[in-house]
Amino acid sequence: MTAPTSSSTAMTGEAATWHLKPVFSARALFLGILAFLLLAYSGHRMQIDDMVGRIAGFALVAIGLQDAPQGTSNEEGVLESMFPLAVSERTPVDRIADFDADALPPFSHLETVSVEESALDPDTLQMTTKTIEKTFLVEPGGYLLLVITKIIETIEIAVWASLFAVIVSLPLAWLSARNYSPHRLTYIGARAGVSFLRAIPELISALFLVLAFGFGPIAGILALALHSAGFLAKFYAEDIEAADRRPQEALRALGAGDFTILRLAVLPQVLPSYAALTLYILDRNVRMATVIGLVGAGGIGQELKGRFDMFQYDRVGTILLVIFVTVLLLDQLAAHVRRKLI
Amino acid sequence: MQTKTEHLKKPPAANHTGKAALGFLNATKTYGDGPPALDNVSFDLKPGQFTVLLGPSGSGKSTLLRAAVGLVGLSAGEIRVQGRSIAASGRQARQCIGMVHQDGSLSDRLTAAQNVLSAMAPSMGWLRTLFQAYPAPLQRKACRLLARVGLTEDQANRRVRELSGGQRQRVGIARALMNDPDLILADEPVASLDPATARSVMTLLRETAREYGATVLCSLHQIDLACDFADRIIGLRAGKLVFDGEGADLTPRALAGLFDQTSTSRPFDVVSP
Repeated sequence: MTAPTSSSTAMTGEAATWHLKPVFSARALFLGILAFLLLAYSGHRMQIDDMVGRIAGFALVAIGLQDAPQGTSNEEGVLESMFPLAVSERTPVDRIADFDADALPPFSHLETVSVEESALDPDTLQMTTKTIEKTFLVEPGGYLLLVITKIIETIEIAVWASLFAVIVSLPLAWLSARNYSPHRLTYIGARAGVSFLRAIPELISALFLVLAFGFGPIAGILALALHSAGFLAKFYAEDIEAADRRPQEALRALGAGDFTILRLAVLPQVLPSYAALTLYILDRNVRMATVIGLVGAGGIGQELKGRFDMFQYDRVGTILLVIFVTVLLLDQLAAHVRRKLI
Repeated sequence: MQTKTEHLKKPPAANHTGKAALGFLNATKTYGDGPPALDNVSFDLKPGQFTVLLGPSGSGKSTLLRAAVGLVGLSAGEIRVQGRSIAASGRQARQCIGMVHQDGSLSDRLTAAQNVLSAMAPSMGWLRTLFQAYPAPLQRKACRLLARVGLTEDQANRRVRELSGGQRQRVGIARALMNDPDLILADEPVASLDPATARSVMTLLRETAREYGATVLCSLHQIDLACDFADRIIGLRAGKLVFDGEGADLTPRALAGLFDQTSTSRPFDVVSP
């Protein structure tokens, strides 16, 4: 507003000789080139060039610019045999124990088909073909219903695992937050424990837990809970450490102990973040619960593995679709809850 | 009921009666190898007085107040609350102190009433603390206090972050009064407020302190507020006590000694022409 004084003119004159920091230093450039060379070397070892070539080949086949190579299209074979997806369940009546034709399950009907069956005649020792009548119990949504029951079991595994993880990780987070751990040793111990929990992949711990607890949801719940407790405790603790100190000091000045401060000054602050982390863990546990089912830890994964090994790709397709829809719905739900909480 | 006690222009540093509400004796604090944040500060507060701690940023005001409630340990010297050393009695000494902090010291996501009640949490069981289950008499007291500092029932039940800066400091004052303090410490309670709101919050602090018969030590960097509200002003500069007297004694020379314009820390963010 007023004319610049002589001292400020001198200062602006001096400013003309300033050097501003370059955006990219020579060091950054060198590191960039080094990283590129390393990636180029590793890319060859990891067959990245081969991968790119083959994916380009698939793409060309897909848009019809190239004929499909003979005998190598097993990816395509699996995909084709997935459709139509298996929705209904057909069970031969003679395989159902205590079958009662008058008391069929709801929405199901019986279907009788004639099948030609070749068998060795024990008298003439010749192959004969005879036509026999076979009755099937057809449940139109039967298989879908089974898959949905399995996915609900999977979600239950994930919910219980997340619940246990939260319960275990809250005290762990207290001990492994630098500013609230009662002693340096408890801090180091808790941190080490948390890292250990996080370091074991669920799939590996599930393998061992299945040995200890047998097939079924217990192994799944424990495997997921241990890993997520490690994850949650680490991030809960970091939130505690990063929380605004001023409300905490206000309570400290009143002579409050750690528990009171954590409850009244820290928890309200970190709650939205805790909710977001917990929802993420729930979402992740549902996805991981399907994976650890592969090693027999219960849920949809066990079904998926069974059908995959029996080459029943139409059923595999149904399972994958149900998993996809579940994860999608869960994501929507989590986003909704998060919006409400924050 | 509270009568103004006589002002002491220069209290003899060694005369600690033990009856003073709050006394500092050779309080010294150094952080690391830096210059001392507090350098041999000695003074006594007289019961019932409203004393302002005046000084530029970094003069040691906050350190002094934080030391009085045990948030900062002194490197040397002693602090006595009603004759008892706070180093020795710790929590008992703190329970007769209410503190008003700078903005941001309330739990944002708790309601105004929950924040006021949190002052009583240190003397409650953990289960009650966990569920914030405060006894009904305390809840009624918190309501009365919130009404006294000018909040409505609706505002008392709002989360603190939805309140204005002035309202938040009013909640802070209510929290400081919750444990019937004999002594109220206020660390720059109006630093983040506009001048008019600052004045009304200072008025409230002074009036409520008088109603509760509490002695006040309030740090400020605004000279005009200090002169208008203080019974006694204690000037700090670079950790040293450089002024002790009434607002009327704050001559331009005394001010220059307190807020040296050539130093980097300045009392106001004045846009110089």
